[in-house]
Amino acid sequence: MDAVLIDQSQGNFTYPEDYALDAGRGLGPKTVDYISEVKGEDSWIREFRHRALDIFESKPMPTHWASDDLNAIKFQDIRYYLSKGKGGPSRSWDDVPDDVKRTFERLGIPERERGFLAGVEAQFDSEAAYSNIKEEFDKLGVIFVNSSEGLSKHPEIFRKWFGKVIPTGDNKFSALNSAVFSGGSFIYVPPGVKVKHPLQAYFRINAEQFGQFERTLIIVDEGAEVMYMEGCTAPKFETATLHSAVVELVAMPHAKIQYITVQNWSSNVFNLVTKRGLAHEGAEIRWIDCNIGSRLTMKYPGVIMKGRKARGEVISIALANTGQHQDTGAKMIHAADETTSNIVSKSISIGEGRSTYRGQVHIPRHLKGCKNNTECDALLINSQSRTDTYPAITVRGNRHATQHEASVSQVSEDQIFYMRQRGLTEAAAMSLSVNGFVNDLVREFPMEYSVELKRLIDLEMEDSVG
Amino acid sequence: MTIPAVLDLDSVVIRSLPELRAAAEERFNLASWPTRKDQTWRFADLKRNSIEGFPAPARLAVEKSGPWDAVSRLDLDTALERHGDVFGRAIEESLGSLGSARHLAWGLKSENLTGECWIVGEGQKLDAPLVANVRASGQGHAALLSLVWVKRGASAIIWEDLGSAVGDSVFIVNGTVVVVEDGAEVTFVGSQELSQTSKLVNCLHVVPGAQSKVRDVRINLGAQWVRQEVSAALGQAGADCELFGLSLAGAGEEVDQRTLQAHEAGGVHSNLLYKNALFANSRSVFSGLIRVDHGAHQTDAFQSCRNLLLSDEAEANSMPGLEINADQVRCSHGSTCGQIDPEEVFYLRARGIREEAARHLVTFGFAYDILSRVGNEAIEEQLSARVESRLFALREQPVESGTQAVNGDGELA
Repeated sequence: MDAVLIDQSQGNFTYPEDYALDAGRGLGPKTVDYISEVKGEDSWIREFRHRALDIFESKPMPTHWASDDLNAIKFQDIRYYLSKGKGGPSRSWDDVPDDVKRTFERLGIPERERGFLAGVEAQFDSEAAYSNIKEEFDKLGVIFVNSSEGLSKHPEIFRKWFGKVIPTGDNKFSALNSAVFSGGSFIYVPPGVKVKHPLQAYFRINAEQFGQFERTLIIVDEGAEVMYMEGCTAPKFETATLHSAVVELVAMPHAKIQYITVQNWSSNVFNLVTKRGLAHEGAEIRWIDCNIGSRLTMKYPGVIMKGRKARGEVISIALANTGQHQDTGAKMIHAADETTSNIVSKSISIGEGRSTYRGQVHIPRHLKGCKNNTECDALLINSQSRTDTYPAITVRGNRHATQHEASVSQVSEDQIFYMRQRGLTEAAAMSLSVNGFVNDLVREFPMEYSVELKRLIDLEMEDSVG
Repeated sequence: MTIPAVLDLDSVVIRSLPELRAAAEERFNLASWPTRKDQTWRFADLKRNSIEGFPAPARLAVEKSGPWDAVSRLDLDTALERHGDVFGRAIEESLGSLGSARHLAWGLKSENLTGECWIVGEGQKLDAPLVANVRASGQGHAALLSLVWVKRGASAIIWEDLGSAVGDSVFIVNGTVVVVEDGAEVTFVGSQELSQTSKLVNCLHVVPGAQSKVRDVRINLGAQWVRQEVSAALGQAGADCELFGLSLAGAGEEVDQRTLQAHEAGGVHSNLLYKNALFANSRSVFSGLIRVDHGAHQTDAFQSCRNLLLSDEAEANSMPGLEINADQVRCSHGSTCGQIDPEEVFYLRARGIREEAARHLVTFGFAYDILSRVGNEAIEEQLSARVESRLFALREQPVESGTQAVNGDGELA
């Protein structure tokens, strides 16, 4: 079976590089100083970055359990900071530089803005190029800024939780991000505010061998609710690029956060992300994750359920085509009574693609009434497609219930035959089957994303039949 | 015994006991004890696997009952000399490959290695089980290697029971290779009730032939620490391999189980069901991998691990795994951790059965599911009696207050 030719043309364009600010290739204390200088950061942030750089350098690559492909990352060849440097992010679409505007118009950003969205923060390489928040949210006290603005203008809100949900030393790549982070969204929702429209951000990598290290921190105060969506794309280059983000979520008692990601990096990108949420009493954090692109994605969204009756959920769809490895999963750490967690993961492997599920569920002693349900299902399309499942469930004590189930199968021949008998081509039948497999989960995404997802899946399925 | 001057570990054909020992010595020197980074020892309590404290040799006495006269028995040296090609590869490559290579090598190179090769002849159908009662005594270590060959069309049930006296402390390394030819049927029951200060490393490798039926049942009722590794090389179409395990662990004990269902070629059915009942502050680790190689289509592989936690201090770790490289397959696994269902206890109490007895009945039912898979009444009866007394003994152990019944809301009833 021939591998699918992925239609990356929608994202496969680039503009001549014209960056006012460039930290150069390679990573060292000078890179960190450059970034801190350019942003005019307080000294505590610069020290935070330097400490993180030391930790990054001291940690080995986790290839004793992760893919050897990680060794292909050449840290010294990557550029860690690039920006057009035109002051802060523009507030209205008209202020955005023309070439940047063209990029985003091709990707359909303004359409989304015109819809029901509250605000858009679009990131072009390192700095947020465009940000627009609807006035009503300003009045409600909702803060939606980039990471630099968050730390400099609202330290009393963000400094408290910055680096607490994901400590710098958590893993090698959270340390890297802590050293060179730039961009990303800092959001604060005051108590009782239920943000009706989803907040959205869009990231873009343009320069060759450029790494992207956005840092997101979302704090939702008591009883408040927010939905945040992010989508990513990058043009195809010969040499590998690196995306190493850190996302921290804090849900105060009875708050609710839904974080939706559609990842469609081109197949040369290493996508290594650390995402974790802290849910207090009665709070709920839902990660809704779709991974379609990149060369290697390693992402295990997690929830630490710290307060009684907190709830964590991960809904994940992964699609791996030839040359891709989607290594995703979930981590649910129960740290209070009567907490519940749910993990549903569906993966599709096409051509020689490989999808891996790695999960961790941890229930320590002296708790009661905790529950976990995990389902991972994998669909293999071609004979060389690969899938792995590596869950780890640890339960202490006799007052809990956990269940885990995983299955691997292929598209049923009977199903295909039934559809072909009724006049569908084999390709259409396969497409329908695969979409049916993920349909439950696709419905969790907001409508316009689910439409795009269906389209992306159809594209991937083309020519893969046989 | 002479040790060959040059040992080529790549092309291994072991033709004698001295060669086996030499290879083990070499492997022992090359390998290292497990560390936290070893994925094959994930979640294991690394303080427990030490061989220190067992320097001297312990005694192993084997008592046999059943139709052993109908079976061909060879000592290890002769068996390797005549049938090295049948067992050599399994011993060198498969036993200990799930993580306990060094422990196994320590056992196989020891002066205190005993064992036999049992060959069930072609077409031979034994009507009664072959029972081997292995009794360890003293304070020290011992190693046992059993090579079992069930020839074409034959059928047999084998029960190997390991035990020791209450006061003794032994470290047993027990390796078993079971080769089953086309159309043969074999049920191998491996039970152990070693003393509370003993340790056991138990490695089993089965190779089912085409159209054969192989069933393995592991029962752990004792020992302070058991490292159990069971692997099945499933490369012959039409084979049906079932792996069962039951462990009842008490205060201070750990049961560490690693399994591998390796579907090397298509058309094989495998099914695994392991159940653990954990009392007091015991812990269990289960890591089961189903690996389906490229081209191994029409594979049906299933795996299930059920953990019953009976105290607030008990701990169960499960890592059911799948590595699938072929698409026309049906593979699934499941793992659960839970407590005794309060509704079941209520049902029994409503009929006048005391709570303790009710919980005992429910736990026994949980365990009996595995015992009933043996398929031989005599063995099932004996094992049931053993499981019952073990459950009684475990109930009397000091337990935490968390063993009281809880109602549907998780409140103490």
